[in-house]
Amino acid sequence: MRFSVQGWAADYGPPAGLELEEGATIDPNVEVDERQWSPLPVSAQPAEEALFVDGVRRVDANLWIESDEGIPVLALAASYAAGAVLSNHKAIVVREEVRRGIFTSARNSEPVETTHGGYQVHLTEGESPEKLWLGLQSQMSVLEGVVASTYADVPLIVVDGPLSHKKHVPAAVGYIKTQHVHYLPEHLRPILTRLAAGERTPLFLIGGGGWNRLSWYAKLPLKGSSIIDGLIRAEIGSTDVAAARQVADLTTATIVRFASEGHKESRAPQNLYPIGGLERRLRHMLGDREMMVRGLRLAAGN
Amino acid sequence: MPAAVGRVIGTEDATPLEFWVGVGPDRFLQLDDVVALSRVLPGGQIVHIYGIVSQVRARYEGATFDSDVFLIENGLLPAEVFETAQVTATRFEPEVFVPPRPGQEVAVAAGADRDRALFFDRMTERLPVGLSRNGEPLFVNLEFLDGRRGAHVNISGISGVATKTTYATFLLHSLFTSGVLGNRTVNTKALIFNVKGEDLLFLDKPNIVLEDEDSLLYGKLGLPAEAFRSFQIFAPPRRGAGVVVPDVSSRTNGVTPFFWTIEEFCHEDLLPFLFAESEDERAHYTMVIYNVTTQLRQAIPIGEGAVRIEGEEVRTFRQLVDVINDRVQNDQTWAGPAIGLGTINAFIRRLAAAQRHVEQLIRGDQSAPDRNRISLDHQVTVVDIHNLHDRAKRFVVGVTIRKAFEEKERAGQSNEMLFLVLDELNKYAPREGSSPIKEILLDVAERGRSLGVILIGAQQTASEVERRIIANSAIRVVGRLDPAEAAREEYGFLPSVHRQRATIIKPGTMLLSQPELPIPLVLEFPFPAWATRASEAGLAAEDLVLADPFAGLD
Repeated sequence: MRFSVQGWAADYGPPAGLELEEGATIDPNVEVDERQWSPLPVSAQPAEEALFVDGVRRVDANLWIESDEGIPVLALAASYAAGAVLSNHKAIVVREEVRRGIFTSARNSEPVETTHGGYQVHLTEGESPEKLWLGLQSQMSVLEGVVASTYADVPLIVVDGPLSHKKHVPAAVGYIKTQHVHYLPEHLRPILTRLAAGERTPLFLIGGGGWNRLSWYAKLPLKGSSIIDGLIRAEIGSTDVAAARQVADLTTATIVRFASEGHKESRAPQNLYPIGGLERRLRHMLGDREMMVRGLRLAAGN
Repeated sequence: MPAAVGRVIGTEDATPLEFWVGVGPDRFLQLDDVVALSRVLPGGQIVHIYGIVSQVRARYEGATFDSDVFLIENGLLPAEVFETAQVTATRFEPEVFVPPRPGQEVAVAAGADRDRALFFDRMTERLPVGLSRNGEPLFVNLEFLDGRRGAHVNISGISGVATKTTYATFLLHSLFTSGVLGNRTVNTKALIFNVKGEDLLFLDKPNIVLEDEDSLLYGKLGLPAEAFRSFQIFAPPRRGAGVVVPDVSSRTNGVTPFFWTIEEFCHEDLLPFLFAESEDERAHYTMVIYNVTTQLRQAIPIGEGAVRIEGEEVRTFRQLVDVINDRVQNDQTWAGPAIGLGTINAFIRRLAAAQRHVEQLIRGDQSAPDRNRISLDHQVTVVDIHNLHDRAKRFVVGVTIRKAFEEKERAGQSNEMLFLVLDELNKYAPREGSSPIKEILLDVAERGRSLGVILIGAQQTASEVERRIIANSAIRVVGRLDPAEAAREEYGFLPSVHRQRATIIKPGTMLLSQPELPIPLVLEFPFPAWATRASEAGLAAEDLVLADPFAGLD
């Protein structure tokens, strides 16, 4: 395979609106009748033991791969990692997995060995930068799922981000810290501004796309915050309302404890302490980007 | 090589002089641990690198803020404790000064490796000087003590906590009993001045509070846990007594009173030693001192140490002072030509001031005064001067050392060594000014090495002692130091970590620097096996004479 490394940095972010799903349906009547909707105080005890799963990704370089027809095709050479923190009186990073991959639609791609590690090929469905990014995103989510599933016996598993690629982990709670999409119908949205710290909304069902899940909003404590700060959404891949209610209460009671403070976390309080620590650790494990670029250039030259 | 304790880290520079070691899980390194590693050079040559742990640190990895400690301990934030040790390299074998490479395994050096790291393998004659923290013996190369390649020991530290004198006596004990001196042991002598308290008066008495575990430490050093065997004490006579009785309160037997006869005072030029304060040297009356000294040589001995000076019989120091006063005022050959009356009066004033402090030490009123001369017949001789006035202390120290030194010069061989132990060196050889005693001590420091006269000097603050004396000491020892003192340049031989440690070390711990080792050894020495006070000697109350409650108040 002939390829070259693009000279300037590859640093565009992921496409917006990842949570948008076409044809999604919302049913707010699964736990409480929507006319009765009001903030629900949570009285559950925080979980003794909780697992936090997260992943990080970084594009090391843009590559141009020469296809069989002699046409250059864009590829991302990226490093990504997933790991888990087990918090049980002490927070310990119990798992960290680092992978490197080439994301491209060029069929003739081959794995690239560099002095600092090998890049596996992951073929994507399209060749636009967005598609390449989605390929990277989904591989990272798969890796997160792998990590999460090895600790299935922990009473509470919080996975950063939506569950779309982690459907096979039973009892995992997807934890979404930024709210770009309105899931609730307009007449229910005011309740979000009335949520007090530690309270949650009633469960609502998100359907469509062949996959149903139960979701709720909760509020984390944040001093002097605006009404929307500290709002998170969580989801579980199940439609069993009774079980989901317990998980929702347990999750809400637990994450309040792990909420970060503004002077320590730029994304406080939504970016929970264990997840912030894990992200730092995983980014560190990705290695130095300059070293990886140097390795790729050497490999391209060979 | 033994199991690795850690690896060289690459996040701090590794240099041939200093590098950091990441300590492996479930292992630890402590200060003063000796470590070793080997590096294979391109070409296959193996370089062994040895070093001593000079600092150890532990920190959270994964924490960003100080307050993260609470998050981590509450189980909210993941982080790990990691320890790293700073190693100061001591030796490269062979001497190819390459840094260790990050990632290399480092092991704790034991046995032959440890000896190599601390250069003990090169010392053919090694003197045990203490134990390391983990109970292994530490040595000094005798060649740097006995004058062959260096000589003299200097000990600094705060009084009371630094245990300077105790360590000096421990060094003597080691010298005499370790066998390192070989057949020189028999003829080697030590002269100790007891300047404070009476704690050096019991060196020949076994210490009854010595515990078995202390004896064990002596065993580890290869030394017997016993008191000094060949020992004598000289003490000044009690003042105002017609019969000479030693002026010590805690010990009655085995103490010889000492004094100089008027004859010796006149014939051996001892007068200048009465004017041994640094201000004396700057004054005009110095001329008078030397003229009078010359005149006193003419004194005619008349037996029992007394003399006749120009027809007058002189038996006591008081009489001598009277004669001198009379002559300097009336006879120009005594005072010297063209000496003003003011200068003569200044001389007389000082001589009169010295009189009451030294009159019991210079006398011609005893029969057989030879018995009371300080002699070095035993292996260890203690001259007690703690009860004397400063002026008298200087006189005794100056005269005794000069005499011992002159005898060595006459004998002209260094095979029989003489160790001089003197505390409060700052008093006898201050940095500023000049005095006869300082001159004699400088002589010892600079020429004593070739004559076999070895000074074991001690002081609270090395910064107040004549530089050349400190500079000539091959072995430097530091006990607990005052923090302001520790920052001075005199302690430049201590790396900064050791300077900090010097301000907190406990009694019985010393830092010892010797020429072959680039960093000082931290050592502990065992509790003295000899008594350092009456109670430790097991002396019953009846052995003690009651101290004169009015001593010193006249």
